Amino acid sequence: MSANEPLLAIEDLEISFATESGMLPVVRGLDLTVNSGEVVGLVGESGCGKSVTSLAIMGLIPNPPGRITRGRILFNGANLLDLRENDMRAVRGNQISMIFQEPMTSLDPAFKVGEQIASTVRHHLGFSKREAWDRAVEVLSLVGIPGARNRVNDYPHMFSGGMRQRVMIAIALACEPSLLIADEPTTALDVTIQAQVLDLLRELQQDLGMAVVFVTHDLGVVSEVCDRVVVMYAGQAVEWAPTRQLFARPEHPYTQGLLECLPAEHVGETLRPIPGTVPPPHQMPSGCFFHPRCRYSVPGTCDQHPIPSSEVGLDRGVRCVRSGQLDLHGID
Amino acid sequence: MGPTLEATGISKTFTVRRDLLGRATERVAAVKDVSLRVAQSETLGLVGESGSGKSTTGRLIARLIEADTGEIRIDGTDFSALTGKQLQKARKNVQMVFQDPFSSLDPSWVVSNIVTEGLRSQGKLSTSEREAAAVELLELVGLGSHHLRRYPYEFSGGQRQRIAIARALALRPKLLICDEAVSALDVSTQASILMTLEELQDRLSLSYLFISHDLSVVRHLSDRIAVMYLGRIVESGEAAEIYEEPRHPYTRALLSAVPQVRSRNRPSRVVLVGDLPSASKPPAGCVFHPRCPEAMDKCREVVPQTVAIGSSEVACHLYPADPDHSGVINGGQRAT
Repeated sequence: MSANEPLLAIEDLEISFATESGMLPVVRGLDLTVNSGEVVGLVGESGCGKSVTSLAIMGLIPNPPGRITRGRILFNGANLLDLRENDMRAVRGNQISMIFQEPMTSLDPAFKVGEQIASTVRHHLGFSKREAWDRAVEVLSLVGIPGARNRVNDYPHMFSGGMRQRVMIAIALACEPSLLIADEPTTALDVTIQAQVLDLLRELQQDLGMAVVFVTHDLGVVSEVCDRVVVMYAGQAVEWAPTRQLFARPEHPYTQGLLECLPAEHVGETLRPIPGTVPPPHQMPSGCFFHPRCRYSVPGTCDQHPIPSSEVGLDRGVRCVRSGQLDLHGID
Repeated sequence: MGPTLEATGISKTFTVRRDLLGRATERVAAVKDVSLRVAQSETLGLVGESGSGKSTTGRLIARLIEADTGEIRIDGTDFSALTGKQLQKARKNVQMVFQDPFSSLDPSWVVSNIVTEGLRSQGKLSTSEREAAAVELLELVGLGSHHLRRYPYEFSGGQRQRIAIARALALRPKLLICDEAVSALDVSTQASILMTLEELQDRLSLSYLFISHDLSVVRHLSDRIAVMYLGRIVESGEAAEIYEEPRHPYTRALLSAVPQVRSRNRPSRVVLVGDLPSASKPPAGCVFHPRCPEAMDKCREVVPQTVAIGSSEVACHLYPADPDHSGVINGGQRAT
């Protein structure tokens, strides 16, 4: 891998699902790059395709009904989509790992947490039983679980919600992956516990030089954790930019719309919800997918042809034909 | 005019474990000596983390569960003392909206029946009167009358929550208790429901007890805020004052933990150590002391009194009650 080649490069990705109306794309034309040691946020409302995208990177799209119908996912220059399941299994949990929203359903209730960590490192790194157990203790203390040497013998139900999420993170980090995919990892946690876990993730990410794809609907979390952000709408990336720039000067009306909905940023003002809802995959509008909900849309311009994305600066892009003409507002 | 809700000293202990003979071996004091006031057309935000007792407090006030002690007055009448027919009649004054609109609506009922169920239980109405009432209620929450014959599964999460609000408003309640009513919704849907709640409050002079773990939502909606920790109210006061000048160390930590979009004027973060302790074995003295960054010796032994400072009331030893002053709200508590 050359120095300036990205760690992860998703090119023109299309993911389709079998429905009553045939195979329908739920993610389309998605380009995404993640460099080593970088935290990239993937944001959008439910149904925008952010979780499906993260599952695709892990090779975990359930098939059937889902299938990757187009594009490439390059990891360290090699296309993950060309790998056979056995080869993919060597990557998953080893070089790329994932943490999920609900730790209780992701941990096996019947096994000690130590065994769950140890089995990962034995499988991927060929550690002996003894070495693997020591590694389990090591990563549990790394994620800040007090008394790790004793707690490896505990079962998942013996941990609180925040501690369980730390165990999940410990399993994910046991093999020192170069890429971590975090899908709403703090959404189920209380704010004070969320603050602890976010601090931990950020600290570990910097210490280990790990890249993170952070999937979340919470713009506050994105603002505090991510270096760059990709905003998704109806299966497409509609805007991507370095975090501060995105929030201070959004280029896409959808991004501005999300910011206008934030209740804490508009105390004493009327909120401006985005009218309507995300269209279902079988009722995609023509032209820009967002135009029926967009207050800036112009008939004849926005509702005719698919909208290409355009570069609007260093590391910045937007999928809106009117972006240059609009004066959008953000939050500084 | 008196407050719509005046709850004084309500407590509730649940038995979570019994021995063979049915004697309680483990008890949880879920709500302890909580007092709340909500004036007409006012919104009181009740915030706290999971396990703080905020939902139990809401249910106690609606009398979905019965308090062990304490008094609940609705518009001056003693709601907590009512029984039988009188209680059933008075229930119309207090209605609830729950978090999950997927489980709170009966999937086998059409919308017109769902929203008018309360009307039927409160008195006889002809079919046409009920139909008219249903249309009016749906319009109130921004849904058209063409939805009347539809089933819950045909609606999105936001629309279902509107139906749940319409149902709660059918009996013209004085107090609406919203328990995490917008927590399961996407930001833009959440914003539109919040707008609807604000409009309805203006139109109908409703009082809200808005229970949520989401401090951003509470900040937007509330006139006053009460912060709960382990079954107790640790601080309450005007919303602006609580947010601008939080006094209790727990309130400070809680507010500073909320991730913010803005990069300017972020509060410096107070990260709390540890988790919420079990309510069955609450710490002695101030229940917050094991996690409190400012805990003193006194905090481990003595239960703090609630004192008035500015528009707020705080229960913390950092703000000692002046014995010559009448600042003490509920004096005389001792560590147990």
